[in-house]
Amino acid sequence: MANGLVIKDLHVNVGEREILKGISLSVEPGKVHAIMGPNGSGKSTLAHVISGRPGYEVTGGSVEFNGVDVLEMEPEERAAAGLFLAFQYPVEIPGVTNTVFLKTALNAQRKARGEAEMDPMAFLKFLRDKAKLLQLRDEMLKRPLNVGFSGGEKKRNEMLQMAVLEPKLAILDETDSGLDIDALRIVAEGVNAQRSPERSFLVITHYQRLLDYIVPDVVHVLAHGRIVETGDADLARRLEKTGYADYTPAA
Amino acid sequence: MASSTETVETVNELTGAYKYGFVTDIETDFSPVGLSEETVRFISARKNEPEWLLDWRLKALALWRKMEEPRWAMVSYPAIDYQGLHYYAAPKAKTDGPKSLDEVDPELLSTYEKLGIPLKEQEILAGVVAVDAVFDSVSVATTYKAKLEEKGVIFCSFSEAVQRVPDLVRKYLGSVVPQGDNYFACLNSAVFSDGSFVFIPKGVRCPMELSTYFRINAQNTGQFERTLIVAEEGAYVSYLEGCTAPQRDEHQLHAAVVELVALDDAEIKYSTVQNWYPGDVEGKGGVYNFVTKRGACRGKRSKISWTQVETGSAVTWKYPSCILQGDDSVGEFYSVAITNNAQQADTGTKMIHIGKNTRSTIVSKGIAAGRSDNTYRGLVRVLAGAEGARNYSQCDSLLIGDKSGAHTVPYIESRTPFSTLEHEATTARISDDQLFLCRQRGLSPEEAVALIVNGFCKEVLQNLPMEFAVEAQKLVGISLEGSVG
Amino acid sequence: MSQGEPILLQDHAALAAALPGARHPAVAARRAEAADRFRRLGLPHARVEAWKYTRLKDLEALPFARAEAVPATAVPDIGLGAVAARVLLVNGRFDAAASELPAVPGLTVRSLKDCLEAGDAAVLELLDRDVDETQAPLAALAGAWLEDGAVLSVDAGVAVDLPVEVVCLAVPGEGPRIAFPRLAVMLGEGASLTLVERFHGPADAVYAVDAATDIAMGAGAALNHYVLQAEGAAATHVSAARCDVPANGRYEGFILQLGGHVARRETRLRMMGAGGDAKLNGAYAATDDAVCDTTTEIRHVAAETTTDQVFKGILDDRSRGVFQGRVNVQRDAQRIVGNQLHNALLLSRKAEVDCKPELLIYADDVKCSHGATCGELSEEEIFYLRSRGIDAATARSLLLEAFLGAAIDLIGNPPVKAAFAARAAEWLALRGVA
Repeated sequence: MANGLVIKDLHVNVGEREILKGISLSVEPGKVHAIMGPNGSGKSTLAHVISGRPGYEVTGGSVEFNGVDVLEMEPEERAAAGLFLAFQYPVEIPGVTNTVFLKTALNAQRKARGEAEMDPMAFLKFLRDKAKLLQLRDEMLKRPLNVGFSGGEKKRNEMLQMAVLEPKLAILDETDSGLDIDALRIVAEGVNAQRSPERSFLVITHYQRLLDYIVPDVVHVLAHGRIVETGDADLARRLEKTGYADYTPAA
Repeated sequence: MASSTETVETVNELTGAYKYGFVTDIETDFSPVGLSEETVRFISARKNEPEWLLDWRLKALALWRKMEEPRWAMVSYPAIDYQGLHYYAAPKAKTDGPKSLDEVDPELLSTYEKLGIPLKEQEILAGVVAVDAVFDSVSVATTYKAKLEEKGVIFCSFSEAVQRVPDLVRKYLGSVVPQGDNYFACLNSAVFSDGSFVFIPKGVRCPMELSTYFRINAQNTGQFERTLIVAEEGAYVSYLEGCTAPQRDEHQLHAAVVELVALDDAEIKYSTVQNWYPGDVEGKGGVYNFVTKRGACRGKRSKISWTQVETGSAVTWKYPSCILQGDDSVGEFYSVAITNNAQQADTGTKMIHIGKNTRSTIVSKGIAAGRSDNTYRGLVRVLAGAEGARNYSQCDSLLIGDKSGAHTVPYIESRTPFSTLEHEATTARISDDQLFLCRQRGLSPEEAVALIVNGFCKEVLQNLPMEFAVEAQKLVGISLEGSVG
Repeated sequence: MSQGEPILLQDHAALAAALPGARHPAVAARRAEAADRFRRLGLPHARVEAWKYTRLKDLEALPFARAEAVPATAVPDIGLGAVAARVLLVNGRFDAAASELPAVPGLTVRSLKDCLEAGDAAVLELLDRDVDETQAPLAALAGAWLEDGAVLSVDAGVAVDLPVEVVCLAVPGEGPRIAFPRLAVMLGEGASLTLVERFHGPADAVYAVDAATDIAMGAGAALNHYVLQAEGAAATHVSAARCDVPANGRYEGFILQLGGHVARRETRLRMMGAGGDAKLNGAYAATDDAVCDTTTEIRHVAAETTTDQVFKGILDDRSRGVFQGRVNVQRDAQRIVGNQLHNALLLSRKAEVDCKPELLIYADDVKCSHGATCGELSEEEIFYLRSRGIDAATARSLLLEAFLGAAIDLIGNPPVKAAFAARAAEWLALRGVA
């Protein structure tokens, strides 16, 4: 049942506070949805809940991916099912090289899906090709994961992981934050190169800027834990002019 | 190779966490229980030792009786009943000893096969490793002897060396670790049973890795092996040591001594993967591992490098050290010590800088999980006159769970201005972010921990010879089994 | 050491009966108990791990007697400027006449003697706070002879703006004498104080000081605690400060040690409540055959506490520097940051430094580190200065001042910073080190 991501009336608490207050959203295969909204609106929470980060309590609603209840799954099971989260703040792991990390992750996912592990030589070639697309130097593949990487390199590295793991749904959590215009373009090209009828994207961003390069099919505005408006790419452009002021709740 | 995935597979294959816990059913020749002059004479007689060696042992026994068990390490264990142990246990052989592998008891050969240490030469990986296997108190087989001897390399059991090259043994035995050095070394000097002897003559680069595999089998038996490695001028040898013991409810005592001597331009690389039985989750059983390892860089530009991966034993007390006597000599210590459940490890090194321009490097990675305590204890001492000495020490600890303890106790003593000593230490834990990232990319929590810990230990693990590195990576994961979740 | 009464406790039973407050059973018992403890421990020996590197050789060798009550001699000025109070302890005894004690709202200065006579419960409780006995034989000795000192209290919510100085002056008599200055500091909730403790004595007399400072802080209190140890070159100095840093409390300590034949300053901090922060820094320099020991122990008892330590030392001639720094994080004390750094410079072939920085960690959510270096002045830096036209001696002196200065700069109080920097520079110039 390849109907993509279906979120229904999702309520999420962090501690006592309700952060998401009933989100409903469907992302069909092949589509790019953008979620925009002011700071603190719950954008990152949504990304984290979909990918299973600990620390959030789902108090109501459902999240299904291709007909399967995602909320019951461990994070690694969601990954194997094809869900990918590009982190807003990529994590460093000293001593574990990019190459080892990606090989381990890819093979763990393949194994979980009952596929054969990739031969080490074939993997290396595969990895180098992907790295080239994102203009990442070979040398960076040998360096420990994100250790000593610049902000831009870290974000490109997230895109490399996405390219290697070939997810069915990629969630980009403010991937554009802290990027200069060149890095932004490289990241966007990386994403666009991976757009396909089978793969969908959920692009979370505060600014419209990224959406100049990754043109979304649908744009949602999230404010105060609710989707307050849905439209096409024009909505994002309009927001650039007006800002989020319209969505501030009445005092 | 995805070591973490394999680790978990390996773990899953096992019923218990400790893979080497089986007991070999073999007829054993014991010394009478207890420690006395008679015990020492019994051991010496069994080995047909010359008078001087018996006297040497008896002198050690006399010294030992006046000594007190050290208590400064951060380990606690019930009093050891030194009179309740066997000090010698050997598999009973039909003849005096096996002359060749064909004469070795098949039960023993299969034990080593189960342990992954094939003793049949043709089975050993393309001839790159020669193995000496020590079972309880005696060496049962040494492979590739002939091939080594073409080069003039002597690699045999300690007992055999005493018979074959008594002068060499007499010259170097106790020259690095004297009998009265410390309580456990002294005990070893009195009752040591067997071990390995290596001699690399001048200018020879040992053509293959040498390896000793230690196995404690018998019950209520202490293992006291003694290893002596001498590298003459310009010689090179890489030596590996592995250890396992059966799973038993009572504690087993292991007090070994290793002495290394490197003359001018010689290099000795000594690697250990210590996986003695660590005891169960509750701390029942396990090996008490009190080991004295010391290398003397006697010659100019000599180098001694210790690499250890310590995952086993209930209690570890071990400080492989370098005495940097020769000018421009180099000492290295790379260590990974993992404690889980109720294990306790107090381990580190001593670097004694005596010669000019001597250099030492210490990299220690301690990982504490469960309710364990893991202590790095190390001494860097620069004597007056060791001008130009340099040391760099880095000690990192990783805590897994909130019931364990990780400690760093360095002693830094400098008596010359013309030296540079740097010490850094950090303590941290695996962050939730790191775990979540790994899981988001598809790894199970166990795989994630194994991957992150292997990364943490990388600087040390990469110093191991290839054949051991892969084993060690797997061991890292297995040792931490059950530490998360 | 077991042949009869130690000389340092000679006639203790008889003399103690005449000490202040002896009529209060609690005070008398405390002295007797401390004396017993010292009998058991004796002077520290090499097998006591905490004293591995420092022997009190003069105390062992010479027949030290309790210092007499004598009038004050001149007090060296360190150019601190205006102070809220200057308390003078002469041979450990409160000298009201020679002290400057203007009325400052919220600040109370009393003599310990008066407090003992009155059996002041709060003061006794503070002095009784636990001392790890195997580590502290000198605390036991001082406890046995507990007689006088100063008690400072700051009322809740009061910020005392100007520093309070406590000057411990040694005035030796005939033969070797030992004094036991005692300081108790009590800060109410939210109170703040800058305390400068300094130790002075004649340059050439053989004397000993066994001092202790106990500090209690109410929640949210802040203490700047600066110590100048400028004892004479033949003195034995052992002093210990113990402070519990409460929730949201702030402790900033600095220890400048420049004197003594054998000197040891211990600082023991316990971080007792969330939000507590301590900075403990210091600098030391030694020449001739002096031994200069700085020992710190920080226990993170409560979660969410932070500590930071930086120490720098210079050793010349046959002198020996000792730095022992222990950071201990107790079980469940999570979200801790504890950092420590010690750098030593050896200027002579006969000088020695022994450093033992320890981390003992029992909680997993911590970030702790220590760093230690020892070495010589950088030839490259000297050359760089010389290449710019500065002669070698000046270059050395600049670099040494800068080396200690990097620590002294961490002092938060500007007048104290300036005074300590001047004192260090003067010391370097005087000893011909620089």
